[in-house]
Amino acid sequence: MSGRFKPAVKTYTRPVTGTWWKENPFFLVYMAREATALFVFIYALVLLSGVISLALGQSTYEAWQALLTTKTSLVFHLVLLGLLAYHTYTWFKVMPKTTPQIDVAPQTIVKTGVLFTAGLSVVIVAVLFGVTR
Amino acid sequence: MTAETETRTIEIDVLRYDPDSGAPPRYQTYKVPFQHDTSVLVGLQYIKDHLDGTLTFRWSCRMAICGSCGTMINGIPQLSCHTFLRDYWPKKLRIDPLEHFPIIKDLAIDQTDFLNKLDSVKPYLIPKQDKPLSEGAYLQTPKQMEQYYNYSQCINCLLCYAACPQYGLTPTFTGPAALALLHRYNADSRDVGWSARSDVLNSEDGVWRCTLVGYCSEVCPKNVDPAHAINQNKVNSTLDYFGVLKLLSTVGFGK
Ligand code: SF4
Ligand code: FES
Repeated sequence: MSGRFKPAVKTYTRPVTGTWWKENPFFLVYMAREATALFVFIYALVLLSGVISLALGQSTYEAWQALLTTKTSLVFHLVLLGLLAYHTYTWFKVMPKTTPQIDVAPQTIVKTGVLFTAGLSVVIVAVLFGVTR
Repeated sequence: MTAETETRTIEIDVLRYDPDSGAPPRYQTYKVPFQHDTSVLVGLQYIKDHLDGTLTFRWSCRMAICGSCGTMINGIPQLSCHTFLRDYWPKKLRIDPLEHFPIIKDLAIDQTDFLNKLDSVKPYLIPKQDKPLSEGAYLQTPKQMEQYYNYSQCINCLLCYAACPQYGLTPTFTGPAALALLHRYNADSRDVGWSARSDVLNSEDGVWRCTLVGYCSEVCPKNVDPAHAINQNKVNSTLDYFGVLKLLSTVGFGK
């Protein structure tokens, strides 16, 4: 950045390597948060494929539904669920950094967020179960 | 348990860079005697006084207040006066100059980039109107002071910049301490400088360059929490973009 202070005439600049994130466990956790976002995208594609198959007609939609009940699909969904749950948690973990200056302990903000989401998920699953059975 | 007065010896690898020769930096190993209360800074001073007078490093207060002794200790940005050799012994210790800054000589880095960024955030009170001294101080309540107090504790040690991968990857990023200080003044009830600072805050190199790694707040020796300052201002920046902040201030919310 230019400005009224002028840099030293002769310096040595160390290069930033592509492996900077491997050098500190804190950065590994950060990268895990960023990387699990990819699986949110993948799950969005799964849902999108459902919408497209619905648009293509009943038989395609039934085939898609059948595909979902295969063992491979169930395992895939379980893995996705785990990764998405972790990704969700990481965002609650940083939530205290985004609030205004309030008099609430950071851990309370995180716990409230996680509990609220878990509770809401149970309610949604219960309602869906009731509607679809 | 080792007695507090017992003298032990630790090996310290220090990154050396000599601008006169211009050769790339290399590590030099020193054997340093230390006791229970020997800080890393005192270890460096031992090297300079007894082993190698050519070693260059910065320090002043020796009590975590001046912010000049920051170094990478085993890869972690820390104040060398606030870190103790006993915690590393019997292993070796590696000391590098603060990450992401150009090296002037050995452990002394060039802070010019930060100084210009600090300058750019107008780190001083911009009151609504100047009043003569005779009218006394600008008053505020303890509650109002709480809004900015921790951000005002910054000692410009730059550990947060060395901790920030985004600053390493994009050096034009205004960075943690400067943005925390920007917020320190914006959050002050006596200050009306929001619009004067908004260009820096709202720009791509302002709060939006931050991806909330959060390591800046971890390493800060003064609990300034720059990540909190930056990320609450992403909300403010968005409100500003949609004109909500202006609206709120006209109806008397905020300041
Ligand atoms: S915010 Fe903390 S780590 Fe950064 S310069 Fe200020 S005191 Fe140092
Ligand atoms: S010597 Fe002043 S902060 Fe370490």
